[in-house]
Amino acid sequence: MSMQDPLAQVRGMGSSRGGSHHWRSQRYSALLLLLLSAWILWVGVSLAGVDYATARAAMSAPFNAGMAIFLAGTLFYHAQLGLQVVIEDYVHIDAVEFVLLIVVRLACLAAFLVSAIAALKLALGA
Amino acid sequence: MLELRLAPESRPVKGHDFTAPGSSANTRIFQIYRWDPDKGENPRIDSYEVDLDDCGPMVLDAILKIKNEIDPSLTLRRSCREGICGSCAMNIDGTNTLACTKPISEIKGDVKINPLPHLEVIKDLVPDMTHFYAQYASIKPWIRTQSVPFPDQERLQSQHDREKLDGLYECILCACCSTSCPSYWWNGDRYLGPAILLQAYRWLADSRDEATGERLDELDDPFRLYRCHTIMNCTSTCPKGLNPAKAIAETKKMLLQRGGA
Repeated sequence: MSMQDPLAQVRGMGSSRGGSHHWRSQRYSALLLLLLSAWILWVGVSLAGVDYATARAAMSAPFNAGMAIFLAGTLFYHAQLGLQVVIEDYVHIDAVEFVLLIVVRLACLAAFLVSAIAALKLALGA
Repeated sequence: MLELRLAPESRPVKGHDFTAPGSSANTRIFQIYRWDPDKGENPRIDSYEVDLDDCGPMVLDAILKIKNEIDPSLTLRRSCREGICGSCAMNIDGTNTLACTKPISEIKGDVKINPLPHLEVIKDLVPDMTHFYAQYASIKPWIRTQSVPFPDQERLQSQHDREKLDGLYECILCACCSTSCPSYWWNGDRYLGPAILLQAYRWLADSRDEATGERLDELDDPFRLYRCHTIMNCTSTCPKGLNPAKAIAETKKMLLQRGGA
């Protein structure tokens, strides 16, 4: 049983003065994803039924390649922000929480890099 | 990690049955959570049959009838019996509310009564509010000013500015909202919860207060404020019909305005 005053426990280490950045980023990336999802859906529908060469040519256009990379970046950034919240909500063992937060960040970064390289490979014809 | 079940020693077992004396047809069963810290036993659910023809209309009336006439060991907090003190907040029929303003007639079937969820129980329906009150103290719920007032008059407030406190000042700190919030269940040690955040916004919205910046600084934290995920249990359970979720959203908007897009 702690002999610390309840108010001291609540005040703890104080406010981080940094919560709003995460919240704002999550909302902005969600809005961007709405627009980018509409774009990728439109691309998918317009390319339905065409042969591989035509689809590849369409995705190698600079605008489409740029949009695909932008989509991947926004998607995995948003995923990382969301998973961070889930881990902070439910994982209460400090060491496990810390490791999971790092793993999620690295995994999302890796997923973005793989997606971006794939889109670039398509665009540059390598 | 998240615990999905209560610890074995905290799981309620079936308790005693008490039948109503006489032969009234208008009776109702009240299933009430009982736990005595001195006995070292699991909590139990006791069933009390109450003659509604000889009982007031509210759940608190029935609980007091049980305490007075059937089982004086039943322990609860109550004071004003008119929804203004917040003492008799408890979980009735699956929803946190005030026993004194909850009509028995609104409940179908047996009336199930438990203490407010996810607070430590002191005895029966009495939860430990120490941490909740410390959280309230931490937001400094009083007017904080820099300017020097005129010695011969109070700090004035326009009618328009006073109206901004409507829906906030009515909060009675019964903790129904905070203890209905899953975020508060999992992270109540650091998350302030809807009741305290509504109270914090009550001072952010007060035109006479001059510590808005400091108050926002204290709230700008991933745990203190941003554990609110807009679940809205707080708003749907508030026995005073207030909207803590809106107060929290307004606080987030203020932080957004202050920080710029």
